[in-house]
Amino acid sequence: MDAGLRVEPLSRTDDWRRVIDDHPNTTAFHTLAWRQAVAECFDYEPAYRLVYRDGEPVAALPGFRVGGLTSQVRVTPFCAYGHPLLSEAADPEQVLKTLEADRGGREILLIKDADWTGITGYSRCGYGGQAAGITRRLPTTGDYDQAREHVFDRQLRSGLDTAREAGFAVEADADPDGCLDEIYELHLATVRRHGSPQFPRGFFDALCDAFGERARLFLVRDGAELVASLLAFDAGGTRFLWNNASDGTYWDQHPNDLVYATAVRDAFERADCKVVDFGRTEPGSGVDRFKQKFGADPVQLTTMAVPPRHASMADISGYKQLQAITRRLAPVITHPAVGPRLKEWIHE
Amino acid sequence: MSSLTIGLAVLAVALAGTTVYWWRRAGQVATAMTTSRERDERIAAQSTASGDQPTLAAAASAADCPPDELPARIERFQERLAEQASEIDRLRATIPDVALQVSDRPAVDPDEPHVLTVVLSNGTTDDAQRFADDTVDRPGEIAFVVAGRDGSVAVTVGEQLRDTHDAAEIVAEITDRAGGGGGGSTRFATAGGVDPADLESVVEAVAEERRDLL
Repeated sequence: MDAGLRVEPLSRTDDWRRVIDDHPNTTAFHTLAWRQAVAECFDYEPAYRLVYRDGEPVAALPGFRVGGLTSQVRVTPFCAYGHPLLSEAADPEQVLKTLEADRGGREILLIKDADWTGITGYSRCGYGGQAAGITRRLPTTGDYDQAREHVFDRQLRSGLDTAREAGFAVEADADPDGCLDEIYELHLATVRRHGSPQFPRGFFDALCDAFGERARLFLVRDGAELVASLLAFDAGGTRFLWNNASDGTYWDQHPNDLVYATAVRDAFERADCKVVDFGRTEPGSGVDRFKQKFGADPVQLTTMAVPPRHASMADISGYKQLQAITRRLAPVITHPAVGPRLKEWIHE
Repeated sequence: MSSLTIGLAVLAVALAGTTVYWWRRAGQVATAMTTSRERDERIAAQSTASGDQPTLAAAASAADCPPDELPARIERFQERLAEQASEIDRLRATIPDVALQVSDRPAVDPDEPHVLTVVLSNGTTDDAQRFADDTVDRPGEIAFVVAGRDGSVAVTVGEQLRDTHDAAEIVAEITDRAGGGGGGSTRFATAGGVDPADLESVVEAVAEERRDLL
């Protein structure tokens, strides 16, 4: 471990911004907006860390302490990423060793990383890994029409034609005021279908308030009825598609194809948006097959853990195996008194 | 069962349980470290394979294509550059030709009836037609623009002369003598498919005849 490096809890937000602003690996989940919204709505203790050398911040690691059964876990909940952001001068392995040493005795540190960040050295620093699904990322620096013709697959183009013929109204970058209630109802319907617990209502408000203009809402309506929604966050040149909800009775008219394509098209039209990240999925799942239609490249997600024996905590494949049961228990799992608490406990 | 036997049984169960626990824990660590090491190796291999990632990404972005299509895109760019360079050379060769012809002629009042012949010895049909797009606006001029490379000619008749001269008829005279085919309107007509060796002399002869009629 480099004796010149010092880890401190985040107290100077300017130092945090110095590291993350303009960093090529920044995501929405590294922003103080995300921290603010999660801290406001969940009973987690923020555990953001800055690494200093000679008084200068050289690395930033987001995280919250979430209570485990027998020990504390430090992780970034409800998101795909929590990797450290390193300045150019920082040695990744020295930083990782320093962060590992900073752990409390029984604390488990989980770092959600992805192949695209290029950070290496975890194994040499004693971190174990657990494959945690994939994400798909689509560059948006070219022309949307070209992408639609040459990158989207034929099934998607056909779905978009069907959605257009259905006469849906599309709202790109909609104002959250006045529509979050509808979106939350759609979110509830979606999680009931999957048998997974819902986010608390206030989390959507907190996210839109904290992210402000960087929170992008995309809506598809059949007349006045909301049939699909997509909430995305823009940060660091990446648009992260965070939460999708849809009315299953409209699926044969492909509103989800339309809402995603609208978000993607909007990203192509913004000069400051370089990539659309479709979010974490289990490879080969129905959701992944849907996202694959957009022609985005798959990228492996790996959660790094120290002590390494706890890496399996990040294994999300177990949820798939429980799905048959959880779908039957959906009314209980999504009960207003149960769902949000369960969501907080699972933190995924 | 004696208390000793019970004690031994409990000890055996505890030992077995502990052994299983540590065996599983060692397995978990080994699996996790393998995953971690494989990730490090995978990323290192990607960096080596693609060289300087940021440069490759920037190049792909500038070429408006994914990185794996960059070689094919660059090859197409190079082909197009070569074609355009060749076209520029060809057009450059045409310019002195035209400049010499213009400088050799006596000055003519553009509004007075006159005949103009221009031979673009290395010119194409497109070149001749573009040239003729200008000459058609000269009210007192009958222009013959020969494209030496393609064996074609464009003929224009100025507004003042349209009642007495017809570009389509002039083109018909040329093709009657030199072969090929053509057509057009009173003011603008073209002929093509003529042997370039014959075309220039025939055009000169027809032009001279029209000059005598002015």
